[in-house]
Amino acid sequence: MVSQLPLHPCTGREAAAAKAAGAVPYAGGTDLMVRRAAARRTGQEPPLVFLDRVATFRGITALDGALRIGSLTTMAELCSHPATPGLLGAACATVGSPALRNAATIGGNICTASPAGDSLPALYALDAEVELCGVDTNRRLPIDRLIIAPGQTALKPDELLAAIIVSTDTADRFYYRKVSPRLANALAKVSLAVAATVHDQVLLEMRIAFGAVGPTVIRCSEIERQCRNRSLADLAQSARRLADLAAETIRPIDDLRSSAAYRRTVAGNLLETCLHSLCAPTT
Amino acid sequence: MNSHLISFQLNTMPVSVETTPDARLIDVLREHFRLTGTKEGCGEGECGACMILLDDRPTLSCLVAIGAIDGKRVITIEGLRETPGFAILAQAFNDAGAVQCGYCTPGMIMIAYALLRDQRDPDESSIRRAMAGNLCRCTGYAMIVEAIRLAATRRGQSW
Ligand SMILES: Cc1cc2nc3c(=O)[nH]c(=O)nc-3n(C[C@H](O)[C@H](O)[C@H](O)COP(=O)(O)OP(=O)(O)OC[C@H]3O[C@@H](n4cnc5c(N)ncnc54)[C@H](O)[C@@H]3O)c2cc1C
Ligand code: FES
Ligand code: FES
Repeated sequence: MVSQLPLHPCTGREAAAAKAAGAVPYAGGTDLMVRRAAARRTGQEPPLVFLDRVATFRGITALDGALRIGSLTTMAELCSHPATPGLLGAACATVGSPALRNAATIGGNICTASPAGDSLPALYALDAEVELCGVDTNRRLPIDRLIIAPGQTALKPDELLAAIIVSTDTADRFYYRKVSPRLANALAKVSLAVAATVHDQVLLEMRIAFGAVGPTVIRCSEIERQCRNRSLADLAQSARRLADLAAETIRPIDDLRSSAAYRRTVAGNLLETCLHSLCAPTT
Repeated sequence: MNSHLISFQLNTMPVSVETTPDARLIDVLREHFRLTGTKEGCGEGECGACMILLDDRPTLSCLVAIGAIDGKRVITIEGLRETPGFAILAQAFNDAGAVQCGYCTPGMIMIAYALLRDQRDPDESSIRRAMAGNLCRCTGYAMIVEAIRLAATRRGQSW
């Protein structure tokens, strides 16, 4: 019975069993408590299982060439940790407000699977993987296989997000920009996260991810392909053409935060600005 | 959800409360412990009126389920009142005219306390960034920024 389940499990396995039995995982609570305020009024409240004592979901650890970020790591911890990839830190610093970032976790941001979730474009651009913990299973997935649709993930009923794995030795330049009506407590209308590797004035590799312009984050693989192995000078020349291509690639929608036309125009402009900034000589 | 016994430190006291673990911390503080200095503005994380310190970090108590604070430490504005820092902040808010209706003030003082604990002498932009999640419908913010600057100059070794 659900009522017999531990409220504060200490292992991923126990927590996964509680979820399988119908309890709702609670990480930082910042999405959950807003949603439950509505549920409370309708009297439908499945029990909570608090994840904060699951040690294996905590902390940031260096692996060989990669970083393992426990799903319970808060946005504030990520922003202040020296090992956090710059792109991810920049994105997480735009979430909500300072006090919200003290509670909000990266795992909660991912599992909410909002099209406007701010960590997601950065994680897509970093080719992040997620580590999932079930009662009897452990598996890894690329981030884009975890997020299926708005509010929907590939987590099985008994699975929890344990950690995020990002490679530490790929991209050496990044660009991040979130466009929102206000700097604090405002969701993105459009966001762009780009990770690039440059050697000898040649762009070797670039990964482009747009947020809030589709049901899930949009990677622009065709544009990435066109940019690869070109000199920075040449890329700067083609910035507008590539930006127009990006604007055609995405399929934004009209919603309460913005119109499709605005999102399309701004998305193109962001990529143009990004290309110019990545191609600018570093001092 | 079934009731559970939740224990935590509240200001200087160890306390326990028997409640459903999904009760909001703000409701437990105000209704069970009668600590009504913590205000509810929006109830959805947008305004900062419900700010408390959870394990020393500014946290929005309208977004915290009581089950999540078992074994942790909560400081409310009533707890802060007992500190020398509070006296300096209260005087500075008074002198700068930073309190009008006063509804946002407990949250603003919480944020100011934590900011001055972490930074000795924050500049205006650091103060504004720290306050980004606290709304005030009366003062226009300039007086609150001024109050925090003033408190920074008067703080001495108080915290
Ligand atoms: C005022 C306000 C402003 C906000 N601003 C932003 C913003 O600017 N950008 C942004 O991206 N978001 C924003 N959010 C949304 C939210 O704060 C973030 O998505 C946050 O990262 C959620 O994390 P959490 O730990 O609080 O999640 P929780 O609320 O604890 O959980 C969210 C969901 O994920 C599930 N879950 C959590 N952890 C796990 C896990 N390890 N395994 C499986 N399932 C899990 C929960 O069951 C729940 O369904 C805002 C929210 C508020 C209230
Ligand atoms: S009442 Fe909690 S932030 Fe407004
Ligand atoms: S003084 Fe009235 S809300 Fe700030």
